[in-house]
Amino acid sequence: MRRALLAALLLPALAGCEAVSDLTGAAAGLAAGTVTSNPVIGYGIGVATRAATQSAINWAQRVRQRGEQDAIAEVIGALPPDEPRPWRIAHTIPIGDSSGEARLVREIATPLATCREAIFSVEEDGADGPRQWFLTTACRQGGRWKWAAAEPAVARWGSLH
Amino acid sequence: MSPGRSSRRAAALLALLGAAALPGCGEVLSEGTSAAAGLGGAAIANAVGAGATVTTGIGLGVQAGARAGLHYAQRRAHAAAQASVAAAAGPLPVGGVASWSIAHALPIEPDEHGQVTVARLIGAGTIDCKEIVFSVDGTTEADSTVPPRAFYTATICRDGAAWRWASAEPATERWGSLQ
Repeated sequence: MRRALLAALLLPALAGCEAVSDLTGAAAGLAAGTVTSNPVIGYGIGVATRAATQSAINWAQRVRQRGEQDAIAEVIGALPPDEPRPWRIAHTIPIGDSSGEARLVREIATPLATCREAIFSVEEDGADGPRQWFLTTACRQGGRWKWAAAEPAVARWGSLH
Repeated sequence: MSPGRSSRRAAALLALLGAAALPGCGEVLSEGTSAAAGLGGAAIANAVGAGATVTTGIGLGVQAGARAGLHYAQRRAHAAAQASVAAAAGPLPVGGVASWSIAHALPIEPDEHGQVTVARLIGAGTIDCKEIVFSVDGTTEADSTVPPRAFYTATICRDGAAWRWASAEPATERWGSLQ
C-alpha cells in the first residue's frame, strides 16, 4: 500500500508541474479507497493536496497577470513617438479589469532584439483612486511584443518571495 | 512497525518526492520539504516523549525552518544565474554580444543559456552601470507559453572588478500575488 502511495506521489512529480493538480484527484481517490489510521499517510495526502491547490492558485494568478502584461506590451509595441495610446484588459472572470494609457519613452535597438521603454498608467475599473504611473520595457519576440522587465536582483527580493 | 520508523520512512519518501520534482516546481518542492521536515520534527518529539501539542509545535517550527532553508537555496541558485549573465555582459561594449550559461549543482532551478548585449551605458558619478538585453534560449520543457527565445532587459552595475545585477524589485503595487 505504501508502494501505491509512493507511485501516486512520484508520478505527477515526474510528469512535471502541469500534472500536479491531477494529484488532488489521485490523493482523494487513494484516501477514499484506503482505510488507514496511519497519520503519516494522511499527512502525505494532505501535503500533496496542499501543494496542488497552491500550484493551481499561483497558476491562475499568473495567467491573469500575464494577460495584463501582454495587453500593455502589445500597445507599447504599436506606440508612435510622442502620442499616448490607451490599453485595457478585460479578464474572462470580470474581476480586477483595468485600463490606462501608455507612452513611448525610447526605442532600444540592439543586435539581439528590438525593445522599447515605456511608461504606463493603471486604473482599476470602478476604483476611484489616483492614477499611478509605472516604467517598464517590452521586446519583440517572434512577431509579437512581450513584457521584458527581468526579475529584481536577488538581494532586493527580501520577503517578497 | 514503530511509529518512529514509519515516520522516518515517510519523511524519506517525501524528501524523495521533493528531489524528484522537476526544476521550477516550487510548490511541490516547498510543501514536500517543509512537510518532510515536519514529520522529522514529529519523530524527534516522539523520541523525547513529548505530548501531542508539543509535537505539533516542534513540527511547525521545523517546517518553517525548512521552508526558509529552501528559499535560501533557491535564491542562491538564482543569484548564480544573475551573476553569470552580469559577468558575461560586464566587459562588453555597447552593441557587443556574448553568450552566457548557467548549470546548477542542485536541480532547484533549470539550467539556462542564451546571449546578452549592452544597450547603453548609465553613468552616475563614479558608478558605472549598463542596461542589458539578454535572451533565454530554448527554455521549453512542456511549457508552451514560453517562446523558444525570450528576451528580457535588466541593469547591471560594477562593484569593484565584478558586475552585479542592479534591477530593483517591482513596485509593491505591481507585485500583486506573483510569488
